[in-house]
Amino acid sequence: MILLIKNRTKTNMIREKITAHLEARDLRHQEAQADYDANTRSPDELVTDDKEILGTKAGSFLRNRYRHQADQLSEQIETAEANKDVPGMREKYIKYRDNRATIQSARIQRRIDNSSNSFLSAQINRQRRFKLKQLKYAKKVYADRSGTLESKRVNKPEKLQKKVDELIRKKVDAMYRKAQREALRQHSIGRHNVMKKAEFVAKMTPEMKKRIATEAVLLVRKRNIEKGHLDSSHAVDASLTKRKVTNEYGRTIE
Amino acid sequence: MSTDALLNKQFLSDIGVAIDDQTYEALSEHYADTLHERVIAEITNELDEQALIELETLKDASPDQLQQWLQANVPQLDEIVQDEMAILLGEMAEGAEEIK
Repeated sequence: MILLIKNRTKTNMIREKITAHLEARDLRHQEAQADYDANTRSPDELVTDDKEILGTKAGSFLRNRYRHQADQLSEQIETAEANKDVPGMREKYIKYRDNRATIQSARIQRRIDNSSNSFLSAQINRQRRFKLKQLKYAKKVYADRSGTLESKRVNKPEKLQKKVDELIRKKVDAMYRKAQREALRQHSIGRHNVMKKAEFVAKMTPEMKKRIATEAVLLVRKRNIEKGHLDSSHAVDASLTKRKVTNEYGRTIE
Repeated sequence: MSTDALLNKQFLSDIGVAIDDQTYEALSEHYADTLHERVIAEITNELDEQALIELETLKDASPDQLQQWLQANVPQLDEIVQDEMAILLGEMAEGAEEIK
């Protein structure tokens, strides 16, 4: 009996110790949490701080960055303008892609040769092996692709070739105009806040985006039909009633 | 706008693409989706902040109201849409061999 009482007392003591330990642990956790909360600010506050610290410097950095981009675009436009009548631009581009692999390989080799540190040298060597493998594959893909494109182009009837070439020429002209618009936008600093625009586009629902784009295309088509620029027989294939494009653009030609 | 403004079977045949109806529908859908994405990106790039806020309020506007707004606020709309179409059709012509 005495032994039983002693055991119970011992059990109670252990239980009390465990309870006290748990309470102390919870208290420590609460204190730690309170401490963490007191020292942690919300992301919004941090962003505000960031702006306060960077202030006008960030603004001028961005302005210079956009100005630099605008200058680069202007240069690209000038080059494109100067070369737009040069025949074989497309072939030159393919050749450039092919040469790029060789240039990159030579650049890595130069880095290895100039490296004084053996560890770094070994690391670069590993990178080189991997890069060369990648480049070899890329070169093969470019060669295959350009070969296929050219051979298929040559095998096409002349009329088809002309049509494709005309479409590609139109595409290049359109890209040129698009680059011009982009350059103009870049120059008009202050009017456009890139971050806010990105935020706006991200917030817009896919349905809204689709509606705006569809109405824009419809409007332009309507104007062109009014001007007589659009060949009505070619406008929409009437047999394809299920086609999404037909359904959406049908309203214009009714 | 040129006669090849919208994707149709005649256009595809002109660039040497012959595909079945199912592939054609999928291609048309892809064409329309890509065009929409590019046009909306270019339009929003053209607009200033005030105009973007206004555009946001046109969620429930009718198609005509939306068109009127676009007409008034995007002066280069014709050029934007036509250029995006030309780019997309050019890309399609370039990759015509891969369309099966």
